[in-house]
Amino acid sequence: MHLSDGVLSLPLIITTSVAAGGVLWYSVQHIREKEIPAISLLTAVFFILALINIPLGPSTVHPLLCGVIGILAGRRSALAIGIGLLFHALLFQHGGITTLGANLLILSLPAYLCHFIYQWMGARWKWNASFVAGCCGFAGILTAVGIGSLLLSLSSSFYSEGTFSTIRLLALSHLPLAIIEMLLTGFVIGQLAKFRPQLVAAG
Amino acid sequence: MEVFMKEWKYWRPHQSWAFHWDPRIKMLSFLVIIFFVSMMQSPLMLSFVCTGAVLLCLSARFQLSYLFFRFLVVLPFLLLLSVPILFSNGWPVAQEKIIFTSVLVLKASSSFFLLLFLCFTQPFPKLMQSFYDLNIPPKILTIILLAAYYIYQLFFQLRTFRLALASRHFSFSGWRPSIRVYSSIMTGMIIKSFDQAEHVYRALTARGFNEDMSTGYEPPRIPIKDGLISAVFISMTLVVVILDRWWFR
Repeated sequence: MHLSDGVLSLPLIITTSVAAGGVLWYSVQHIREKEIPAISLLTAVFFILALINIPLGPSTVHPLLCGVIGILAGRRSALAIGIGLLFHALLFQHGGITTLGANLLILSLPAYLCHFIYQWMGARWKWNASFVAGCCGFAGILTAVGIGSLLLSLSSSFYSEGTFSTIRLLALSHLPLAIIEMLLTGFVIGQLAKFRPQLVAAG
Repeated sequence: MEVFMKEWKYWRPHQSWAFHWDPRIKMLSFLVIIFFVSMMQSPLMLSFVCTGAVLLCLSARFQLSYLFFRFLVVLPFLLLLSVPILFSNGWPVAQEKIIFTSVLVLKASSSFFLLLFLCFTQPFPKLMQSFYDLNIPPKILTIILLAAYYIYQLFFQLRTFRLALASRHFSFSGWRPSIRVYSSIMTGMIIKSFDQAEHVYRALTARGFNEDMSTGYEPPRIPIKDGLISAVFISMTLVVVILDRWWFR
């Protein structure tokens, strides 16, 4: 879910850019030298894997990966996602420059939520990593769609008008993606827990 | 994706007047112009800007077919946003909805062509170098530069995976077994990336790395001519914005 330039109203562009600046500032705080190559690689992985189209009926979807990034990068998620989005906008014109802040919020807030849920559920109840991650992946997409819809409805009432409104269609079209993302996040984190448990350790 | 890989590999900036425009001032000017465009409200003025953006691309030797092909990437998203607005209350469509939708599509299209012009009128490393002068903190700049390098590397790694799968008659789908295979590829790439990150960090520290990616690059002064070109473009957009806000309200 990448909002293009021109989709949001000017006050929202300014508000989301300022808020995204705050999120980025939080993400960059106390960054250590050792983390820099890992964040760069995560950014590249986020960028590359989000380009793979998965056929779904007559259309295709591409994973958003906010669950995987949130669990792996934790506090640095916003930085990895932000730079990935910048590359998406510059190289593909996918998303936009004025909506970079909004897109960052749409993906990084769910990533933080996923990180929080994964750490909390994993540490408290020692649940199966794959199951918890799957729930995170599902919740991540729903939250992203929720934030995106909220921004659109705040931008103009036209987006939420009517039975087949833009927001409803957007939510419906993301439902299959939420299921795919749930399976994907569950499998990936499950396999990582098996082969590199230190990368996805909760608590 | 395949198209992008091809483009990345054979990245050839268009040898036109825009190629000689300093990428730093070009980037700053276009960021300002895109921000101005997002302020506009009149379909008439926006169609003027959009036509101007297309003509700008054509003047930089972009082919019309290429522009159309690239535009197809954003078209589905624009349709998903605009068609429900138009027909949300059935037929006939209210005039204010037509205006709102045309403003939305024209703004998105104008910004799309301006971004295309900005990104594809110089070599990619030059575009990356222009980040130096934007006063980005060194840590973030290092991450951007390293990420750009890794993206290039990972493209070819992913292509190898895809070829290997294709040779085994595997095709991606939304079904569970397919997603399992896809997630295995992802896991492999993530594990390999973290291992590689360790090696890279050791290599960087061995070479005296201290958060700042020193490349020995001394940014040259921005030529006055390029500054003037930017000033002309920004002033023209500003005039259009003023006309849009106060004349066509």
